[in-house]
Amino acid sequence: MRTITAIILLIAVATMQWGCKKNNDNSGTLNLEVRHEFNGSPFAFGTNYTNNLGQIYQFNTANIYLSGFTAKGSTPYTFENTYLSISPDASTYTIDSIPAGDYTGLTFDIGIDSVANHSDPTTFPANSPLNPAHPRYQHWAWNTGYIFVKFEGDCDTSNTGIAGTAFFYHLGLDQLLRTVDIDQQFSVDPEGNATVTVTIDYAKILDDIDFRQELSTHTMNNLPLATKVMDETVAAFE
Amino acid sequence: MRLLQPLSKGLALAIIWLFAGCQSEKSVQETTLTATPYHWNLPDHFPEPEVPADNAMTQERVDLGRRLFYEPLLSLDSTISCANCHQLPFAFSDPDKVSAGVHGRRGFRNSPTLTNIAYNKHFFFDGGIPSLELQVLAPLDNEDEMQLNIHQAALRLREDSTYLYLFQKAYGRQPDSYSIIRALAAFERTMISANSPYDRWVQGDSSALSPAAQRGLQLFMSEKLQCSQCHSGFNFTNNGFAHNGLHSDYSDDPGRRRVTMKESDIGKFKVPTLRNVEVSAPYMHDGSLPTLASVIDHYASGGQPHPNKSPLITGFSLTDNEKADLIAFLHSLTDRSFLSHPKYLPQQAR
Repeated sequence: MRTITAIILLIAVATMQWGCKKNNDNSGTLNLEVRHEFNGSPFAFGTNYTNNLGQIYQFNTANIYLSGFTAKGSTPYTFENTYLSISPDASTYTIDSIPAGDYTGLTFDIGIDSVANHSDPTTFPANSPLNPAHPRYQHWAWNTGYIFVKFEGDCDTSNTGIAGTAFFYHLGLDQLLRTVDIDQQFSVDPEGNATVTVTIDYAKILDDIDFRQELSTHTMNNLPLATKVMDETVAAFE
Repeated sequence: MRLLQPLSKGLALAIIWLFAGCQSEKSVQETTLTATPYHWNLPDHFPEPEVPADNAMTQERVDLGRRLFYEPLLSLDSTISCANCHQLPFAFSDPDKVSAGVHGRRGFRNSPTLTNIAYNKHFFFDGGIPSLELQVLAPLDNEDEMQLNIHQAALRLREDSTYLYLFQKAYGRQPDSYSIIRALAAFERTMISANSPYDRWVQGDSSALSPAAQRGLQLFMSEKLQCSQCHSGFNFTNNGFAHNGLHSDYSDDPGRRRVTMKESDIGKFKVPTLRNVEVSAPYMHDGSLPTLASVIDHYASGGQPHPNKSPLITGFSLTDNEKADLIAFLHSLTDRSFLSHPKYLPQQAR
């Protein structure tokens, strides 16, 4: 009798263990596939590019925080705690689990919502891109808030043909949060995977930038330039 | 019976599995979390500081923070600790105009006193940081100060079994950004200076202030000087921001505009406490005034013209005796017991 009780208990315990791992059998996983491109070719760090003003530059950092994901459709689904740091070093990102069903697209924000933006970074889980332990953590420690977008590299400001002057664009502040709206049909099967694909055309980001006048900003010291680069970043998402 | 023993063992394991499974891996060492109450021991004219709910004061946290305050491992090349720029004999400030960080690099502002920092509402001269915990992130991150990613600092501390033990005791977790910033803030909140001659005078010891200091206090509070308009209350600050006419051009350091982007905030800086001001020279955000006499001369002159200058800065004239009296009063805010208290010194090596 005690043997049977023990076995029943074991099964019960195993079931509960299973239960807390899988919260909903009717869910699948939504991924974001990012194609990093430059004018239709694969994007590369350290490669000389020329913008529409004829100025030469190359990137060495291009990190973008994304948050506020919502799957569009007749039954929209909002992802509450998904924060991603997108970089040309990686193409596939897991957004989170999502109820099975048919969806028509995805909206998300470039940047961090104002609540998380002004939170204590050390309170996010250690694997969150918002925690200082993350390799692409980017935060203004001296003015509590995240650097939504960080573009850094070198450019040619003196027409020598050599990208030898450092540029940086550190964009943040609540008022620079921008929404991207992607129309793309996808279906999620129970326990299946679905993927939304977006392309970032890095060629668009630094078009119209005159490096001789617009070499850098950490947003607070040059809001017009930060706004300009942020608007071009939004336009780079396709 | 033979069956029963392995089965009950299995059951026990299963139950452990159940409890362990849903939560992330919790260390067994967590049971060593210890919370010895911290006692403020404040005089009646000092309120108890507000403390964040997730960083209640305990002796273990204070002790750990004290150790970290003197820990050079928190800087890139392991040469700079908090105490390099916040030295106890100078009321946790630095006699250097602008302190040297890693590789001797200099920032652009004078290191402020940490006296009574527990009562501050904003941190940094431009007020961009809302809590003492979050303040810790800034000097670590700054390339002119410690220039070390706090996660890298945590990894260094995890190599040290003493730190692993002390963090478990204080916060029930290993060294990480969460526990490092909280421990340092807990220690800094203990830096309360409430035992100056002025404090003893406030508590009824009429002999604690010299006649000169008492005359200086009258001047300090007077309509003519208006010092106490900004340097008000038990901590001699209104925790606000003001343009005191120090310069006419702030293109090197726009002050509070740096974080608010408002033109009307150019040249405004946080109003500091005047406690222990005798030992926290040099003065002003840029350390440009070397002595209290030069500070009084600046305010007496009415300062430089600037559209954002406080209307309180209009200038005044003082006799030499009055100036000496005012300085005598400012000296009466010096708390000698604070400046040498053993609880602020580095722990003895164990």
